[in-house]
Amino acid sequence: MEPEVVEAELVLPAHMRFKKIQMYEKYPKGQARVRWKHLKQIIQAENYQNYPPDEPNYVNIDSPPSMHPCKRICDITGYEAPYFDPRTKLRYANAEVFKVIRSLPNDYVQRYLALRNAAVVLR
Amino acid sequence: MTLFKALIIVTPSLPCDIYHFMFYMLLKEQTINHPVLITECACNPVQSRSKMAELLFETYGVPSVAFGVDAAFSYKYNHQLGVCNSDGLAICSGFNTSHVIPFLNGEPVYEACCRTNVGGYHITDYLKQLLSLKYPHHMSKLTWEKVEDLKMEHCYIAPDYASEVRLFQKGDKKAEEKTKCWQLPWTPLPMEEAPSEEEIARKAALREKQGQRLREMAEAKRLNRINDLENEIRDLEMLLQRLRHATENDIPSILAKSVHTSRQDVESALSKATQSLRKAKGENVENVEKMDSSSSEKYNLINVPDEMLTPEQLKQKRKQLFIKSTSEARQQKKQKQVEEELERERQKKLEEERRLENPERYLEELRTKHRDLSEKVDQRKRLKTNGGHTNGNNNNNASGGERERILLAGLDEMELLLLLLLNRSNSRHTSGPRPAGVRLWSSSVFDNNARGATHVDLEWGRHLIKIREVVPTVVSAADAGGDASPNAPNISPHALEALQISILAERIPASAILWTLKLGGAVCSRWDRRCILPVRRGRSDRGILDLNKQSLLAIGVSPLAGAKINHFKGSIRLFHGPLTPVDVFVSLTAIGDATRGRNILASSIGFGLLSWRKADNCWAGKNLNDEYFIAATQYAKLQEASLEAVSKVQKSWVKSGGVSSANFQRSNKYNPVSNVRGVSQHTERTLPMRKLSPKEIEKRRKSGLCFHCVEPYTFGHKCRKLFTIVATELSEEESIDEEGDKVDEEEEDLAISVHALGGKVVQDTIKLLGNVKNNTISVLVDIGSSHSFLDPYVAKKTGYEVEYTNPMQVTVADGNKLECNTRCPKFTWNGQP
Repeated sequence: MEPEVVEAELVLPAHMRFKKIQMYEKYPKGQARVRWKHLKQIIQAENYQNYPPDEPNYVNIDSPPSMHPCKRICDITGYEAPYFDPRTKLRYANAEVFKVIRSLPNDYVQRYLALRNAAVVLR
Repeated sequence: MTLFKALIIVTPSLPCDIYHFMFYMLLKEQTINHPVLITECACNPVQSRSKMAELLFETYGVPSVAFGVDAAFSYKYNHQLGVCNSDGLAICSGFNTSHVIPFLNGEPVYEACCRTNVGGYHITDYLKQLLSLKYPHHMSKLTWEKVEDLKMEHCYIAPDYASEVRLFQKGDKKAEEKTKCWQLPWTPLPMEEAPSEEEIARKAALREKQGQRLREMAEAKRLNRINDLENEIRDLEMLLQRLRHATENDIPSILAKSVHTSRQDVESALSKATQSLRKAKGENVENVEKMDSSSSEKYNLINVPDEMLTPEQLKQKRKQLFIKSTSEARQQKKQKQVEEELERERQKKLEEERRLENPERYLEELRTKHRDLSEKVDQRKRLKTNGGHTNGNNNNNASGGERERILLAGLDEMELLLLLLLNRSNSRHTSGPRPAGVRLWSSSVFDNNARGATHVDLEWGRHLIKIREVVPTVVSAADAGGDASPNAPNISPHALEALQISILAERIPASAILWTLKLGGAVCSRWDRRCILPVRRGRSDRGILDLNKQSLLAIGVSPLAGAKINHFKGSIRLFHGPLTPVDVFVSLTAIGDATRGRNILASSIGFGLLSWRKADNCWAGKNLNDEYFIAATQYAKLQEASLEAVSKVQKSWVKSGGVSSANFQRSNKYNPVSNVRGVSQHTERTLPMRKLSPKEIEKRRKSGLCFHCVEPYTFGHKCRKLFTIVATELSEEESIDEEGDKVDEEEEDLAISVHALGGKVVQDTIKLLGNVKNNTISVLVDIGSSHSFLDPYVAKKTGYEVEYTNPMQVTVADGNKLECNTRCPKFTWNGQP
């Protein structure tokens, strides 16, 4: 066990009186723990589409995507980017950044694009 | 319960573990005998909540549970302390999500609340990705936790992004002050350790063993071959003997058994076999002498002129010529070898003589020779590495191997450097794609002096002083402290540079990273837009959210966020006019408010009554016991301190579905039977509460009147008007009833005005003649009705089909209710006859 765990006195006894069902009863050795549902599964199980639309629920309080045009910011330096490289699709601030962009491997270009959700995703 | 100490849980992978730890810390060995209040996000899915309740009930045996929204608690707490008004907007930034919840008269309006899935986690993640893209060689150093630390410590909110960025773009002193630099410790390149004695011995033994095995195998093979040959020879000799003794006639029969055709054949085979046997046994085969002896007869055709030979013999002659020349060449070569050997021996003798003559000079000569040779080898190697292939070929020469090792080590460093240089926007080394290799490295290392002291070199020098090799410390570029470590000069400045992670405008390009965060608190960059959204929604829904009255409360935001607050104010005014008064408050503490608000409720005497028992939940098939809620509401009204918090608890509960039964299924709130009691759920939306000013509320509260109707409020009180509204809301839109009316649907409940019923024409009624399938009908236009109603007789007469639907109640003008259970969806009429 990690030393800091021991130090912080986080080592709990196996049996606890305040528990009705002890851990070792619920999960006997060798048995896998409960599989937790993903958020997607939970939402699907809730059947929100059957609910009246005017009632707030987890899905419909989600804010819609922004309709504002995104700001033009250089992908490499973070400066304001007046230029756009048609080959790599990256935005850049000045000629020096442009040199950098053109010497970047494609892998990195894609990752920079992915940062602002502009990468080409092939499915 | 919220007595969470400042202890850090190391791996809280599951909520179960957290409870585990918490309860253990709180209770040690007792059992839980008090209600538990759990906070959750707004509109938590029923599944999550029920799982939580299940865990608490089943595993921990908690007597009762209550749920509430943390933002609401926080808002209430701040409201009580006078930080914000009763109307307002709570902006709650969390770890994974940010919520914006409007409050009206101190109550949360969940219909208009809004969630954005951006939080502190995303900001850290963004920063991590940016840094790892910029410094791909330090990817392993940039752990999530480390980046979180960096963010907490160094990131800040820019009041105006554009101007902030321009500061960096100019690159003057101010920007330099803002640049943060994280110096990684210099770790020596992994040196190849010289193999120990044991290792060498082990390897040698291994090799020896392998050699032994090979030799044994070869020996066995040889023995086998000898054996075979001996057998063959014996067979052949026996055959020959038999042939000798046999008569001429018997020969073919004897030979038929073997592969040979004649006696000569057998003899030649025998001689071949004996020869190869001798070879196998390692005896010297004196071929040459033999050949010499038989040369005259072997090359019998050579001296005969061509004209006298048949074509076959000609061929043979050519062959003989060839064989003769090759054998002669072989002999010559042998002779040469012998001569060379003699020469070498003579030279050795000479050298020995010279050594004896003058040993020192001789040694010197040898050394120079050796140096020359090793240099040559070096050169050859460098050429090789320049080509990009360094395959550790260091078995030639000791010094050459060393050199190569150094070069190899340098190559790593150089690669680092190359990437660094590529990343340096102002570096002059980036002027074109360079082949990755030693050339660049060496040129930048060795040509530095030639190029003169540019600012890059100066920087290198400064960094050289700045090295701290013990622990990874974050060093600000400004405080170039003078504690030069003693072994700094040994480290190449390039390595130093390469080991730096400097945070320049990193935090700024990430438009998301604009907030200083405290323990998972975050607000996204589109914060302003997001919280305007509920304001708008609120308007359309209820038309009551008034920005003039409203105060905005930011929760989970560090008090340092002042700059953003101003920015936010500005953008609100952008939407709502330049003079809109906006008050933005930051909650007292970033995270503690919800806890405190919660504690007030949890510590109130009546809290136990408000929470859910397991028995309540076990009420299978029944709706959330509404009586319980009514009781809760009343209790809340009595308990001034916890009033709002309580109502929030139950509202959030009902609003997002609530846990209803032991199976934790969603309650059927729209079951008409149970709905009579589902008071709280519809109260804020349909009641005419909007007409109440805070003063009036105060007055009512003082005189003990119900908020909704004007009757005095007692235990078990039911607002009559409430029911009608709630009940009528169930009904669907179109229905066929009496006179037809076209109405715009302003009001929710079905209502029909007196005029419509009586067909009476007063000055503000509009009566038209309509045309339906050549039947003339009279149409009464009444803007006071919610739906269009049709006489069943008309429907019958015009031949439109009538469907049966769920029965609904229609409130008519005199307050009576009529049942309506049919509708006519296809009915159309023309206004112009």
